[in-house]
Amino acid sequence: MEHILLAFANLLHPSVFIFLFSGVCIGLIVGSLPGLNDTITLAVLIPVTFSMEPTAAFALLVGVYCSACYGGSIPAILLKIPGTASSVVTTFDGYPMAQQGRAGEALGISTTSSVFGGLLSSLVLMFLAPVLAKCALRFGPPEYFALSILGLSTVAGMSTNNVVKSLIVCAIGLMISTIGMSPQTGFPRFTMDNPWLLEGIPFVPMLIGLFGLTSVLEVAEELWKVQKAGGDKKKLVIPKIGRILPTRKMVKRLLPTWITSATIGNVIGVIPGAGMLMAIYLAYDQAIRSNKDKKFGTGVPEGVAAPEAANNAVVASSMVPLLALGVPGNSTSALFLGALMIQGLRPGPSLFQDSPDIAYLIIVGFFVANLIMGPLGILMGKTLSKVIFKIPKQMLGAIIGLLCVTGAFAVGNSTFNIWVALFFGIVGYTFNKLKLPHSPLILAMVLGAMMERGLYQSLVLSKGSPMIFFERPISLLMLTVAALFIIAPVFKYLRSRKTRASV
Amino acid sequence: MIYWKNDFLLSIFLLLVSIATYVSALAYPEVPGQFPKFLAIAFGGLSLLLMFNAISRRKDSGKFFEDIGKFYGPTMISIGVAIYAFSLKHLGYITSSILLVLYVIFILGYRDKKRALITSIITVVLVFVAFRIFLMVPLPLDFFIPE
Repeated sequence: MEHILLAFANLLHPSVFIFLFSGVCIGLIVGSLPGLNDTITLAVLIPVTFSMEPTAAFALLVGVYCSACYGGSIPAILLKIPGTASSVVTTFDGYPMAQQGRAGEALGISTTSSVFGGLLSSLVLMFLAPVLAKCALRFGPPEYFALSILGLSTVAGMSTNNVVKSLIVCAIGLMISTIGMSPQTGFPRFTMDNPWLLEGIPFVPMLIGLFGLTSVLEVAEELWKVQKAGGDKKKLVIPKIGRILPTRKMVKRLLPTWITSATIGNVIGVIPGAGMLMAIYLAYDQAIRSNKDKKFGTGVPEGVAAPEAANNAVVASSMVPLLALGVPGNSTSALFLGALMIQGLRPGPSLFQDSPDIAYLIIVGFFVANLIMGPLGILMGKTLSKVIFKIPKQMLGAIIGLLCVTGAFAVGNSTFNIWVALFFGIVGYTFNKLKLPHSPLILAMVLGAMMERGLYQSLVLSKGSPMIFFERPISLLMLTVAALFIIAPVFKYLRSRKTRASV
Repeated sequence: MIYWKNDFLLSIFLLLVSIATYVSALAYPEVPGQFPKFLAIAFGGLSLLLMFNAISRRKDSGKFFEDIGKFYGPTMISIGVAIYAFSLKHLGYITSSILLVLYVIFILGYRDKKRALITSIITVVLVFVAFRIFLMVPLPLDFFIPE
């Protein structure tokens, strides 16, 4: 408890609080800009945090991550253009509400739902991460091996599209993780005699490429399509906004939806590789099931509340596996992994022992950022919607590109990192074209070294017997859950075949 | 839409990568070579699965992508960034970055030259000041800037 109180005191110090506040403002702006999101912004900002005080750096990053997700709902409601992928579902009922002259009400519901989901998930993070980290301190090599298998198996179990493609991306990530010196012997592998590769592929430039440069390439394609179609003739009309704060009656009505959706978001967030989209669709689906008398898609307040409470609940809870176990919950929390590494910190259970000030500052930061986000969102909502679409996308694309290459260079003061960012920018773009998911790649790259080290150290401990993984209860439990995750898609496929055959 | 030919070609490419990985790993000593060899086998298996999956959809369409022209912008930007990486040390940060920003703006289809030039100069100077002066990153200096 004293760590939490100390973190509150640290965070509320003006020199740190200003960064958290700036982070929330930046997050709201980038979230509202279609084409920009939290991952791109964090990828660009991480090199900037390199020479900052760790407390200020993490306050900034937490602020961005927290509010970008909510910022996406503003254009989703007002213009039917989701600012981020996590606000796609918000357009279903948010936009019809705006068209009915209830834009302010929809924005208010989105704000309060996001704050509710965010606060609940920061409480989950606050109490679950330290407990989980304490348990993880007892982990030995077999448990770490089992944990990495569990982490990767969730990709198969939670994959909504092509399971084979998700597994292929996992395998690519694992293979990339073998580049550099072997964790056992220090023997260089796949380095092509390049000294820059001895420590493996530089993580932050890779993330900058995968999220930042990929988005610039996507913008180039999108603008080409617009040009081919004879230019963007659509005139954006921002509806009248009016009263934003929801009434007490509305809050009472939405409370069950908030609780259910935030719970879904928290559960999904904690599972590595599950992703935010799954949470918002599940929450929306659950809202439809619980409100059968309402016609969703026509401007139902629950249709805005459910996805917004769920997506913000994923935010802090996705940090639980990262802070407690060193396993990122999603792509954005993987960027935090990069930020921690750049500050010389080691994510995982030892973070709570070695740097409790930073671990708890991140945790408390999510709570405070959500509290700031509410009033700031209401204040900025109206202005943002009027300003955001005045910035030409071409300028924005070029500026992001410049920040990406400069950031990549800054990480190691070397042009080699620009090449890495460019390579992964092209890889990310190609992945998008071939419908290959990004998040399993990062998860596998992070887990690869943990898996290899865990495997060899366990086999050394057991003198070569693989039974060690099944003799220890935690390892056995994790491997059993992993097996269930792997078997689940097979059963799903068999059941769908059976259903199709019977139709 | 993902056409079956794309997945088929991807599976062949990945299969070749897995073979190359396995062959390279054969040259390594036993301990460091074991994990990559195991991964290469698993990767090869998954590539074959993708290949069968693609072949089973071969009646979908014979096309690769609906429009190849859409790759023009992304290709040109990638080339621009590659040239930038080459020129950074020779031209210095400010010159090469202004050229890069201008190039990307025009490739993306913006036609107002004056605004593009002003934006690129202001952005590059701001980023340079932020990184070089505040964050103390040793960005390569241009000939007109004293050490």
